[in-house]
Amino acid sequence: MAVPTATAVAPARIARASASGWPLLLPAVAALVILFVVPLVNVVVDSFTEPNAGLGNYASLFTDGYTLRVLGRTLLIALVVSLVGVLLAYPYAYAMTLAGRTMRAVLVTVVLVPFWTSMLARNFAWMVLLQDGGVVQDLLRPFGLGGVTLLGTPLAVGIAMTQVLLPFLVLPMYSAMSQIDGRLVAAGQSLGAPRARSFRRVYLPLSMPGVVAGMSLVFVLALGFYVTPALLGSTQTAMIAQVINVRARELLDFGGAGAMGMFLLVVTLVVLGFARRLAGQNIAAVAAGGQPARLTAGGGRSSEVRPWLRAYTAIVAILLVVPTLTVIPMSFSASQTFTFPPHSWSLRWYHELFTSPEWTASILNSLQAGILTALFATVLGTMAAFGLARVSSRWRGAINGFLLSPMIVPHILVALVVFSAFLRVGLSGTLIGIILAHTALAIPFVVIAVTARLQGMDVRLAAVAGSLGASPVSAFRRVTLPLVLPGILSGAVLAFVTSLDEVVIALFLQAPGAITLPVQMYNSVTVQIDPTISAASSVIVVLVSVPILLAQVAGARRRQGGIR
Amino acid sequence: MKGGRVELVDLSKRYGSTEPPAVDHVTLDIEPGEFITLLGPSGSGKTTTLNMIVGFTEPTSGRVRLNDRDITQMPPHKRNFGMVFQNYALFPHLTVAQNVAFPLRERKVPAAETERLVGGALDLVDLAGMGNRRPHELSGGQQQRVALARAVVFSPSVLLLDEPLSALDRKLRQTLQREIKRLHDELGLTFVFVTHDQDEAMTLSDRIAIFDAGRIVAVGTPAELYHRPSTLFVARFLGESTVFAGRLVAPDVYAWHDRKWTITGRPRDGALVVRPERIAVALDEQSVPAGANTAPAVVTDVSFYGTFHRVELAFGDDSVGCTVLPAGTSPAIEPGARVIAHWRPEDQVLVTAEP
Repeated sequence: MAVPTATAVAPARIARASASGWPLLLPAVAALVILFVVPLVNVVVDSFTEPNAGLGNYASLFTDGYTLRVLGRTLLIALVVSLVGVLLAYPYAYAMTLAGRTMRAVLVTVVLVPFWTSMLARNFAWMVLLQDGGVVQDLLRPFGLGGVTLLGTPLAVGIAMTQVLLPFLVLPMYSAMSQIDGRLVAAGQSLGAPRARSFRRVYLPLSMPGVVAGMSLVFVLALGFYVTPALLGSTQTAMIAQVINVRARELLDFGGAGAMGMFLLVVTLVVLGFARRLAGQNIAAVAAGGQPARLTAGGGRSSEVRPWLRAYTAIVAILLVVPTLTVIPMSFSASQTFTFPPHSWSLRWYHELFTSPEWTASILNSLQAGILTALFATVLGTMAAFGLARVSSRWRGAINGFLLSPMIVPHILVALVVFSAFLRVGLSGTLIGIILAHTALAIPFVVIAVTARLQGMDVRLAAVAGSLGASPVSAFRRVTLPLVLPGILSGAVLAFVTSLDEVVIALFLQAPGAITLPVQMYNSVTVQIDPTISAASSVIVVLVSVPILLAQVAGARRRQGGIR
Repeated sequence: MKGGRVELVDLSKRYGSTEPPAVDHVTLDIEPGEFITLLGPSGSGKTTTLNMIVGFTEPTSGRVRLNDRDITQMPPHKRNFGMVFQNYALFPHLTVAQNVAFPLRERKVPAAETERLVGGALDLVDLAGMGNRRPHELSGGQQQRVALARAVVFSPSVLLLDEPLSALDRKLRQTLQREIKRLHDELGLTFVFVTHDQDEAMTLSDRIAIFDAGRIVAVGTPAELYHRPSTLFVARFLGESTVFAGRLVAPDVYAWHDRKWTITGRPRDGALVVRPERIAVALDEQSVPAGANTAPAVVTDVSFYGTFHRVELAFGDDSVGCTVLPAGTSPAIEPGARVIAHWRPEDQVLVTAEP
């Protein structure tokens, strides 16, 4: 086990010796400072000075009855969503580690499809399912709960948020669990512990880092969630993000909105910092003692999937995909209103989607924004990743943290910050403003993808190319670039999808002429009732699922072939 | 109670109806206190057999008995068998002492007694004072000692070891082999050891069971199996051999090309096998002792191994073989030399070609 650690360290040491990485880091760092840090400082200043200098905005956070109720409700919903989510996700992630190759590919796909599918499509689906006279109400009728209104209540918000955020729980848990040597439970049994107790004493503590990571992530995301409460909740039961939206966009009370945003940021940082401390120690132990997932097959009887786990996993899988899939039949409905299941069929909403000026303009805007965001973020992020590998390790951690910071800042706060800044410089209401903000959001994805690739690569290879007569430029072009290219491409795809699916910032910055597809979808259920959204959602679901499905199947095939 | 008696009765394991059985009608009596090794190439069914003994794998048919009691259906945690896993399987979230105390806590042993037993077990494997370390802070050899301590601390009646040394380098492997042997002598437990390393099996075991394709093809002491292998597979798998593919032409005559060799002992139609240390080489017919069987050979390679020279021989018909010469004698033979290989008739073994 000591050997792989040593080889993993070696490339970094060689990389450190080469030229300084600062010039490569500069563009990305400057972009984040201009697009994000300076506006954030402005908002902080506003929160202490607008409308009056002092701590008034913060004092009212904790004294104003309405605001207090909003904060309490938000914390409670976020807590319940993350706890219920863990109960759903833990057995599912565990089943993923036990499943055979094909089954595992299916389970991964089931998680990834909603992960990548439009946030609005999923929320729209829940809106229709939970509405009065909807499917969920019909299902509850036999239990005497038929007349209970769901849409517009915190319960509806909680149900939809749990489902929407479930992938964020499953993925970190699965990643922690697949590090655990499956034979450890068998070892516990051989030492006298019945299977259930061996699981509790051995597996559960080892999987805790994944649970803590997933739970804290979901808690933080839920705190700043905007779309779900805005679509499925009501203004009487608002969450923080809705109030920030109203204060900033309708009341132009940047001081009050800023104070709420700061509260959100501080809670986020505290929770994530705490989670990191809690999970960090065990993560080291797991990494050192864990075996690759492929070894977990040992001890036949202990790794068989129990029937109850099978059933539970199937239910969670259905919960993950089926609500989203309901948009497809809905899109072929002939009805003027949102109904599921549809009573009559037509293709009119597809016709509307591809011919009406508003929808086609929004599709073109989104594609334009996505492509340009991908281009900017990929160039800046790739340079930064190469720069990171070259700066001394003393600085690397801090700069890496800074480059990734847009990921952990709640989107509602980013939206508030860029909205107030762009308002001052006239970028609000322009597509370029949206693209710049999306670039800031997308840089971290590119940095992560390219860095992962760089770390997995033996940096000595460039030196080897040099010893074979390649100039540094030619070594980069012929050796380093081809090796890193998959990372760059996946970073570009992630950046594109980030922009394509982003709704909160685009909502804040929207203006006629600068409406992206998610904003058009959002408006089509809030401003008017336009079932074209179901056609748009279906197109997105299919466009996203098919490539993921193909990639998973191809991956499973390849692994199978490699073993023979 | 010291070592337990384990009986495997007609044990089989099939994973799919189309695949050949992983374990195919294995019957084996393991004596109390015995050190038995299950030896075989990978995929021969030895680890599956071990997993059926410990209870991780349910047999398709057959029984497992412990001290005349049927334990086939008993869950692993009730069998009271110690098990040492291939990659140690130490709990990374627990310290060394907590790892060793794990089985005692399961058995509700009082704290003071636990402390005493853990200390004793760590002493036994030479790790006194390491109790507060985490497994990842230890070397591979130390981790394996912790695994040993953990598997014996609760006084199991049987200790099962699944290729416990395969992840270690040669030097460390030898040290731990001695350690395991010493543990066996001190504790008096029944040891069931799985390995694919024939040298390990030879040095450690009271008896060896050789597996091939899910079956046990031979059981015996290391000396029996080495000197009197019954099949060609056993002869080839355990130690080196020179194999002549001739045939029995009379009860006391074996023919190989134009040679007629004397047979002593039981005649058997099959291959004739001679171990390297039983073959001598002479430069001419005059130096061959009377009564020896002979075959002409060409030396193809001489290599120096420190304590001996190894000489590779090629016989006329693609048969190859080897012999060893003690170091210190400077061999007058070099690659290319034509020699006469010879051995006493009682030093050869006739084996059946296939079981």
